[in-house]
Amino acid sequence: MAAPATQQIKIRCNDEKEFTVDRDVLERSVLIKNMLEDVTEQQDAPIPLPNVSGPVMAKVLEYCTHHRGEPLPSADTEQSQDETRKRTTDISEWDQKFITVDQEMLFEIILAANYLDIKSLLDVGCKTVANMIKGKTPEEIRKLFNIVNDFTPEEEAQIKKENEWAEDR
Amino acid sequence: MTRLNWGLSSSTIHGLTLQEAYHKLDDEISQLQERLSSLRSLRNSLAPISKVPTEILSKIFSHTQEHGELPLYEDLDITTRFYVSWVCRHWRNTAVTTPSLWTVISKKSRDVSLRIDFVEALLSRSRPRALVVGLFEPSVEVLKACLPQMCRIQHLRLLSAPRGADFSRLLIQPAPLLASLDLELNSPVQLPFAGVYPHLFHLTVRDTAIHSNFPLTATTITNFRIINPTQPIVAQDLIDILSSLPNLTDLILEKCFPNEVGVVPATRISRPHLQAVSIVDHHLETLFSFLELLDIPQAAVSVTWPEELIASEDELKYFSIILDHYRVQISLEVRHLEIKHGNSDFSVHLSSTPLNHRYSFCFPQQEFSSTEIDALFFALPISDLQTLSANTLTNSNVSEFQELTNLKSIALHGIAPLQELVLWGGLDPEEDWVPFSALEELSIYEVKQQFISEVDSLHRALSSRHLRGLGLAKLVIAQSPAVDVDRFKDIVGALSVVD
Repeated sequence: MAAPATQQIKIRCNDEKEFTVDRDVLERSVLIKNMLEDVTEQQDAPIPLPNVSGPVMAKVLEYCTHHRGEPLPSADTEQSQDETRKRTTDISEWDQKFITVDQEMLFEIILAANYLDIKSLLDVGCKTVANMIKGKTPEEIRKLFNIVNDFTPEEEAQIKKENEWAEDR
Repeated sequence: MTRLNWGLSSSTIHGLTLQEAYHKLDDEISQLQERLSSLRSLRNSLAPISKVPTEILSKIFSHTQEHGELPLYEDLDITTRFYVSWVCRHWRNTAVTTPSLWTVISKKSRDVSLRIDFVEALLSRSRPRALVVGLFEPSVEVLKACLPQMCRIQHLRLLSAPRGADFSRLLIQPAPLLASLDLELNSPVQLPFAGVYPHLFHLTVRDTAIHSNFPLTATTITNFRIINPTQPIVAQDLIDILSSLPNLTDLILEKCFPNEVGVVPATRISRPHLQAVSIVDHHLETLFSFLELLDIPQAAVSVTWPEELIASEDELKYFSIILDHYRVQISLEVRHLEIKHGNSDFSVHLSSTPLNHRYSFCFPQQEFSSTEIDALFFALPISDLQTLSANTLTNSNVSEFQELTNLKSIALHGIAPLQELVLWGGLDPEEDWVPFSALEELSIYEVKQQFISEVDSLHRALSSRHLRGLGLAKLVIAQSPAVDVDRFKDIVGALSVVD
């Protein structure tokens, strides 16, 4: 017996790039899932996604396709994790490879995951950046992210005081 | 934005008093610094990471502070939170308003200090998040600062109370979030579990008199660890503990047992929830009595020898009984056992020996007498021995080796063990029985020229095994240039020669 045909959904990015994607893949995004649930009739017009570009959406879809069928995190899980900080910065091997991109793309993916409400992808992005930060001095962090020290002398004085806390700990 | 006067010159301060001039110039410097800072902030806003909104940057910072269900106090990262807050103004503003960055209050040893203004800053910045507090010898003022925060503490470790103070005031405060408590109490404290710690599941007490804290009733506690109590645990203590912790699943006892068994109650205690008992001790007779008390057929009991120790012949006997009795349930991890026997000592290395698997055995440098070998084999289930490594084997009881039916690998250092091995008959073609029937791998090291006739015997023995269909899968001949290795090629599966 043939498997039931999966519904295909069209989306349009802010650079007019369009994708036709299986509904269950797209529903990894809570934003799109809610949009699709709100639409009662079959629509041929693509769903506009004004905050995501084509290349970034292609990466997001790669992630969603790989993780299709996995249970979505519930709001309760997310809240309890926030309360107890039991999460870990471990990232699966596939996710690590997937997220090995240049910084520009990394932050675009994080923004897209935030906009599309894909919690697991947002977590992967944030954990990746957290891992990049850990173990580095402020100067090394600045260099890594192309940031300069913009503190005023008064702010520097406060930081110097905190430096003593850090040395004391 | 106010336009700055870039064209300052001496005429700018002409006619001003010295104080007025200083004031004016300081103002100008201040404005320039503010302007510079703004320009740098503007530059920072162009960096790719600046595209992420503040709440996501905050989330990233939170991820730098994660720990497991139970924090490993020694490994908690207490540096990154400072470093991210010192990168730039935007990161600083985000960091100080991210409470989860500041929830760890830690003093890891006596050598570090913990300033009260820092503790107060942490308590303020972390609000309203749950706290992880791990304090070694905290000052009285730090304890006082933490006192009103017990309602926020989720994981608490208090070691070594300061002089003139104890932890009791802190410990009687309601702690509705407290999940783990790790305590070293220098004075008897009745811990107020019921109602005060409604979510406590993990309790560790160290260097503390246990009997003074029991009986307690704590139905929430599933993990209990006792380390080095000031008085050894006797059987009645154990009954008290298990009676008051009905939902215990994991019990860890480190250096808890007395030298002598004492009175052992006749009633065994059934604890169906108990899934794991981990024991680090070497008082074997007591340990055995303790295990006898527990009716935990499904429990995985693991016994770890404390570092190096000397066991008496009696203890060795109990070791044997424990092994026999719990051969399915116990997994033993003896790192080093030194057995005192008669006038001579000998050592046994048992590395990772879960009894439902086979174990390995290494004879060290000394020679063993047949009495010692007897004692050893009495203690250890020799039929489970899977690998044997020997520097010296002489004058031994051959019949014991008939039971080595599971031995898969032998490594022999020097010619003496090789002589013994052939002598024992395991490889002797004249013998009918083959005690090393499961032997797959043989390694011989440092066989010198003068003992080459022994190698002939070995060759004959291996040829015989080969004919009997018991040929070795692998033969390693190492540091033995005198040995003609080619002659072994056809009688072993794989031949490896190491210079």
